[in-house]
Amino acid sequence: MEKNIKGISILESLVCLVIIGIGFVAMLQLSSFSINAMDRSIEKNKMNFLSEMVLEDMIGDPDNVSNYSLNQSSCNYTNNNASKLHQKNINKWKDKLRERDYIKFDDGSGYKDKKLRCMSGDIKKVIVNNGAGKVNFFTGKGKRKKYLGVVAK
Amino acid sequence: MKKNLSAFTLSETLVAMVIGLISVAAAFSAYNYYNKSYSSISQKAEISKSAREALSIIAKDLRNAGYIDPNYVAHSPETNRTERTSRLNLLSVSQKRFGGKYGQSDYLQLWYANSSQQSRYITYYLRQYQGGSKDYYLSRSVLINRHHPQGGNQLIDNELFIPYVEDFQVILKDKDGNVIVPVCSSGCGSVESSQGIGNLVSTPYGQMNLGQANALKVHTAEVYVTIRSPKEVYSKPRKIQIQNGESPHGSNFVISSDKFHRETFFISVHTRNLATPQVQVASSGQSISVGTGYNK
Repeated sequence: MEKNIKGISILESLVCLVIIGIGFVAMLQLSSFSINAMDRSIEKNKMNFLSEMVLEDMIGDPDNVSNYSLNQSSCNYTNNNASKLHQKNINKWKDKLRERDYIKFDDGSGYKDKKLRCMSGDIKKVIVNNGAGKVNFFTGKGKRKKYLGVVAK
Repeated sequence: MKKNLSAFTLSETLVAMVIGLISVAAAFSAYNYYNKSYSSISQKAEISKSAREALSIIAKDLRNAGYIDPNYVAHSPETNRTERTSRLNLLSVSQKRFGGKYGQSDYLQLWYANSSQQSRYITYYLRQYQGGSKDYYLSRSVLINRHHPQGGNQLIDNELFIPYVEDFQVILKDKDGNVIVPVCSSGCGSVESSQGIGNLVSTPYGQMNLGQANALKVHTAEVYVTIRSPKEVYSKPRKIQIQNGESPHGSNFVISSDKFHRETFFISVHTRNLATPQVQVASSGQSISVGTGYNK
């Protein structure tokens, strides 16, 4: 009597390995996603503080609230000459929103700014209407939205 | 009867071993990667959490700074409380005196009377970890009724407020958005001396030195905190330059190559109880507040 004792073929084992490999890659991507999520969480945390900065500045200058509008839809911008408080504050917002000069790091190819991520489509908006200020941040190419508002006067 | 009991051939065994080794190597490197990721994420989360909790409290303290309960001067259990003496230590920043690891950090002190019976004297500065560590943390102390005849009640004594802080800067600005120095009444050092802190000036509450009088003009406080991860995060070392606040009042220093992660957090607070607007009666236009404020 001939006994037909078969193991798994090389083809079957390779298919199995490919499936396991896909699993590994998926897990690696999950890990990379969680690191990015944490970075985004830190940025959101900073954005919260920056939103409060905007609103605090408006609360501290209640008679000029109408001058505090900002519509920043580009990642690169320059500060304007400022002599009045609201102009200085808006310049400050621009600097802080891109974390200019906070931390620079050099990994061998010269100093680079470590700054909040800014992508095409991101918008930082401050809208003032009848003494009430509202901060709108659109990040992640404009997909993620954050609103914060205050009645300054 | 012939039995066909074939075993693995040598080549099959070798192929199986190679595949097995590749799988083990992949699993090992994946484990290492996950481990590093977990370490990196947990340290970043820790930094973010400490900053969020601590800066909210610092912001609250700065908003309260300078508040004096309307009945405090008359009913305080502390000694020698007058309109003038109550305002001698409202807010104070000493630059680079308790400078931390890199000698650039500030010392912040503020005071407010939250009721007729109680005042709070709060200090923030960098303290070195005990046990020979070269690292610093931001400490917070709260002293209740500092001028009580039996001594104040130390509610919180140098608590570890934010761990692994590398820079702590406080920049104070007046109602026009200009940096205002010196604002210092305690723990002042050579920087404040060079800024003329000892000069006497007149205020609506009597004569004060310049550092004390300037506290009445503070409109905005900007706080920068740079926090480092407790453990190394990156695989390659990086040289770091930190610049917080306007030169020459802020910090600017270089940290030689290391693998730690760092984040700088910034808050800006309107100090509502210091440079307060003068409220005017609509019908007469007369001011109804004391004259240290500014006209709206």
